[in-house]
Amino acid sequence: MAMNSTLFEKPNLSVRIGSLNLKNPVMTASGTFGYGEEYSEFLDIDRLGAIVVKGLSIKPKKGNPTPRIIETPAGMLNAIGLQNIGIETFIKDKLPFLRQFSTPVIVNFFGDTIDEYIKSAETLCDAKGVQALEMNVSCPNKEAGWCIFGTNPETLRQVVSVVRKVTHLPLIVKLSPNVTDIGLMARVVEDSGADAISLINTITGMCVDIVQRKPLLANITGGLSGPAIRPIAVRMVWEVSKAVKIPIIGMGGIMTYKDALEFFIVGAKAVAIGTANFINPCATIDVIDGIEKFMLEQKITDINQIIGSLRI
Amino acid sequence: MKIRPLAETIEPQCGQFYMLQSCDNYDPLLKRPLSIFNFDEKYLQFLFRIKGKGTSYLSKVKAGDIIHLIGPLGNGYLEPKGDFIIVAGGIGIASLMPLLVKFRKKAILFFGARNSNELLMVDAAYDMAINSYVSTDDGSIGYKGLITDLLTDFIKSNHYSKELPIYCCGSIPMFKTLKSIIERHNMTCYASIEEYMACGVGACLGCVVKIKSDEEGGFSYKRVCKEGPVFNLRDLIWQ
Ligand SMILES: Cc1cc2nc3c(=O)[nH]c(=O)nc-3n(C[C@H](O)[C@H](O)[C@H](O)COP(=O)(O)OP(=O)(O)OC[C@H]3O[C@@H](n4cnc5c(N)ncnc54)[C@H](O)[C@@H]3O)c2cc1C
Ligand SMILES: Cc1cc2nc3c(=O)[nH]c(=O)nc-3n(C[C@H](O)[C@H](O)[C@H](O)COP(=O)(O)O)c2cc1C
Ligand code: FES
Repeated sequence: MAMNSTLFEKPNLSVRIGSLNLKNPVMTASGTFGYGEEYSEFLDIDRLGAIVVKGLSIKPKKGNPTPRIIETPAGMLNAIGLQNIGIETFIKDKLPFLRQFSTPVIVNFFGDTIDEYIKSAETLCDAKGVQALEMNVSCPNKEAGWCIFGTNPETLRQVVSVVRKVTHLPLIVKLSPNVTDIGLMARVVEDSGADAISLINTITGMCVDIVQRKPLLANITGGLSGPAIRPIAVRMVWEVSKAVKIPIIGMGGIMTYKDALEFFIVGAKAVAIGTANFINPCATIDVIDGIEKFMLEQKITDINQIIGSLRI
Repeated sequence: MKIRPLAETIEPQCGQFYMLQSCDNYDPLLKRPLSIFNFDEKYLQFLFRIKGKGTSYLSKVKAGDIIHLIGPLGNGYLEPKGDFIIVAGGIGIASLMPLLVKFRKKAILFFGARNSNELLMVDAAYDMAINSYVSTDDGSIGYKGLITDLLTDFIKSNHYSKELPIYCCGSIPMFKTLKSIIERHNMTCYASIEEYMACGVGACLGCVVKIKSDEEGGFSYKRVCKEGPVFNLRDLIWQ
């Protein structure tokens, strides 16, 4: 009997992202899990590896007119327009709820200007209960003709370097997939002092009403998410894992534990679940349980044995 | 469609909805919102119109098939204290039926649709109302024209009716006309509205509507799935 007992031991699912210890490598993707409250009646928040909240900015933002979402084959386009309650209200009204749990809170944030990024990071750093920051760089730069921060290596370097200087918290930079060389962007982010990289954000897309000949989204274009983008996301995580040494959080179309495992194998140290939460509110928990069961079956004792284990 | 929940469920309130999905493949990917139409201890019942892919799949479900659903969701109708008026446009009757069932012989029903085929459940609704007014666009049953015309006439000839709250569910043009009627007569109206949804639980911010507020621009966006689907018609702003 003693011989068999090791087989039934719980495998190790804990991973480290910079100085952040996660009990398991499964988190929520920003913008798909609200501020945690919305899903708390469906699942045990304490079981999550980390919780990443909806993107915040210094000033509250109203967001785009509707329609904001359109379903596409195996995916959805969204143009929410970064609607959020603002950092101050978040700290006052939402953070106390999240502090009740043992699960680390990662705050996703963005700015229209470099100055706003700095102010956001400074304010969040001082808030009790924020364990890490995730910088969304897939938003337009007001001071440079509304170009996306994360699609130009120079602006990317500039914005990440200055934020790095003002925060001691683990800094995760979330890359935009709407670039020609994701590896280059990843290196820029690593050189600028980020502790980790998360990817992918949504892929810009568009749908047209053929009778009206009008775009289906009020914003004309939107971000594609869901299973449709998963192969692109897996490829990009793989390219980034070859380009940098810092940990990677992989996401894009993960619906099941099998999808998540693809990301670990190509080099992600953790994964985030986005659109899947909308279809199955317990998707995160199902992925955690599924990974554990798979490891038991395959006699893998530590998730770190899977990470970056792609055989070519 | 009648569903027997496999797990214990909370009893829905009039005007609440569920997110439903009949298949496990990824197209259609998202669940579809449907109002609770009828329920008892054993079953949940939905009444829906086949519109596109999602409702078409739901309509093909056979006895014994499994449906995934989340609910009850949202804020339903503020329950009436006395008599009230119901204004239903087409499939909007689905959301209003629980009020007719729960408050038997308390409602004056105004029910309009494109034609007689779309006046679903009109006989059952008729039985449960104090009295009923019916219209169709093509005149195949009842008055030929808009249901809001019948309502306007009714209010003119029955002064007491201005004191009654209106409960309505229908199309945007109907809501717009109703809004001008209630503003003219200083009436109260609770409207259940529709918007595209992804999560149904308030997380994605996809389903918002403009609601009058003191904020900059005179409005704020509220989530139909969380703060709604029932709103005070006076507060709604359409582009
Ligand atoms: C709170 C609420 C309650 C509803 N209750 C009922 C009901 O009881 N009976 C009924 O017949 N219909 C109801 N509807 C409308 C119903 O949800 C849509 O007809 C349905 O989603 C259409 O899906 P589809 O795939 O068949 O159509 P498609 O047009 O192919 O759908 C494409 C996408 O648009 C969305 N969509 C299209 N029309 C609507 C709409 N009117 N409202 C919201 N989303 C839409 C779909 O959900 C889907 O994501 C309700 C809507 C809401 C918001
Ligand atoms: C409705 C919606 C809102 C989102 N909001 C944000 C956001 O505020 N900040 C951000 O960095 N990413 C946001 N995202 C992107 C997701 O976090 C994630 O990167 C992307 O959806 C891919 O993962 P998925 O396919 O699992 O959804 C949003 C995605 C969706 C669908
Ligand atoms: S449907 Fe997601 S917030 Fe309402």
